[in-house]
Amino acid sequence: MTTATRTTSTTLRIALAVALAVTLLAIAAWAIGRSSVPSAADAQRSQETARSAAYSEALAQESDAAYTSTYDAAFTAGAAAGTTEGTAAGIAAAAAK
Amino acid sequence: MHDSRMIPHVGGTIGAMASHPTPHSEAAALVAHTRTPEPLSAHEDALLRRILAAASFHGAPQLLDQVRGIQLVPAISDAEHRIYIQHPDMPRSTFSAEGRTRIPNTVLIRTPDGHIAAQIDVWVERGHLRAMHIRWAGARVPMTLPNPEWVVVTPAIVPARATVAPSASTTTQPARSVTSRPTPTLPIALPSGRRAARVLVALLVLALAGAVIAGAYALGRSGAADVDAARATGVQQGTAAGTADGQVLGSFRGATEGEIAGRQSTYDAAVVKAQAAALARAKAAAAAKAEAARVAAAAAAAAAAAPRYVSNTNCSGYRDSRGYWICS
Repeated sequence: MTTATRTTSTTLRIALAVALAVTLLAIAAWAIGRSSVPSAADAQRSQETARSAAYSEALAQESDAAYTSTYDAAFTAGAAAGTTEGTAAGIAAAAAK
Repeated sequence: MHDSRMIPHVGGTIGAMASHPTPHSEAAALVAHTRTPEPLSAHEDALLRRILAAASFHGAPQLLDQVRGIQLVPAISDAEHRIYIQHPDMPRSTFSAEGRTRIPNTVLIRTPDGHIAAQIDVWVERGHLRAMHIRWAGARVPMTLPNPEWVVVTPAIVPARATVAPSASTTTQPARSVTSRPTPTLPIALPSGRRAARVLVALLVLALAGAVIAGAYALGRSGAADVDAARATGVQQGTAAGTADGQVLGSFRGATEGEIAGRQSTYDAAVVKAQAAALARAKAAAAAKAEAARVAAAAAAAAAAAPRYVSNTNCSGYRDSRGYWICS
């Protein structure tokens, strides 16, 4: 092995060792950086939780509002219908006697 | 073990050198190790000739003439230390006739790009070329000799003086010790520019490694999901769905429950009221009918019993359809 070849081999080994070390450190740094921030799964879970909470709250509010706004009219209509039906039933009952 | 008699194939020249009677002879030990001396390579020959031809001290021409007769002792030589032997009858130089010293010139190996790669010391012992010590500037020692074309011989830095062996006794000393003697401080060193370049390269490598690591860390962090945006989206979606469903559910419940409650609130009373009214009307109708029948019957009876007059002058009553006065 010539001196140039041996020198080149040594330099190549050192370069490969340095490159390997840098690569390993870079992978470790990437993993650390990746683990230090929220992932897509975390965002998905957060979205689902927020959606569920907002759904329940909106459902309750809107349901109460719609219930209140429709109850009175329905009560009036029901009362009228009840009067009509009751009158008919009463007439029928009276006729049956 | 260092006895030359144990080396039967070594004879002639080496044997003569071993027995060469000189005051500071170390030939015995040298011969003991020099089993296979060999001629100089063309490269080494050229290197020595280049050095000695450019040397400027007295006796240099004789040393140059000795190059053709010296042999290398490979058993005790390496890339840095080149140990030579030659026949004792070879004409001696006037330089270092009594001791062992280096040639006074400074011999440098300067590469074409101007860097000093090595310094060469040529040792002369009692007028004979004895060794060549190549002191490389770098940490690594090349396995080949320097290029003769790169030899630069400058005048001596210090005046030439013989470095006489410490003792003139007959104790044998390996020839390798020639190069182990204290040598002056290497006048060459890495040029400041080259050193700075190495430092710069090291710093660049460190900076590059740091940049790569920092880039990898940033790349890892760049994959972060936007939790706030996802949460906001979830709130928006949940609110929309909850609003729609709540309106439907609330309307259905309100309409249903309101209608039922309203119906229940009036049904029973209406039944009772209507029934009572109907019964009352039926009773009234029956009574009216009965009264009408009674009146009609009474009228009929009265009419049948009462006399009919054209004019009612005798009684109170009424006039019938035919014009008769009916007394009641």
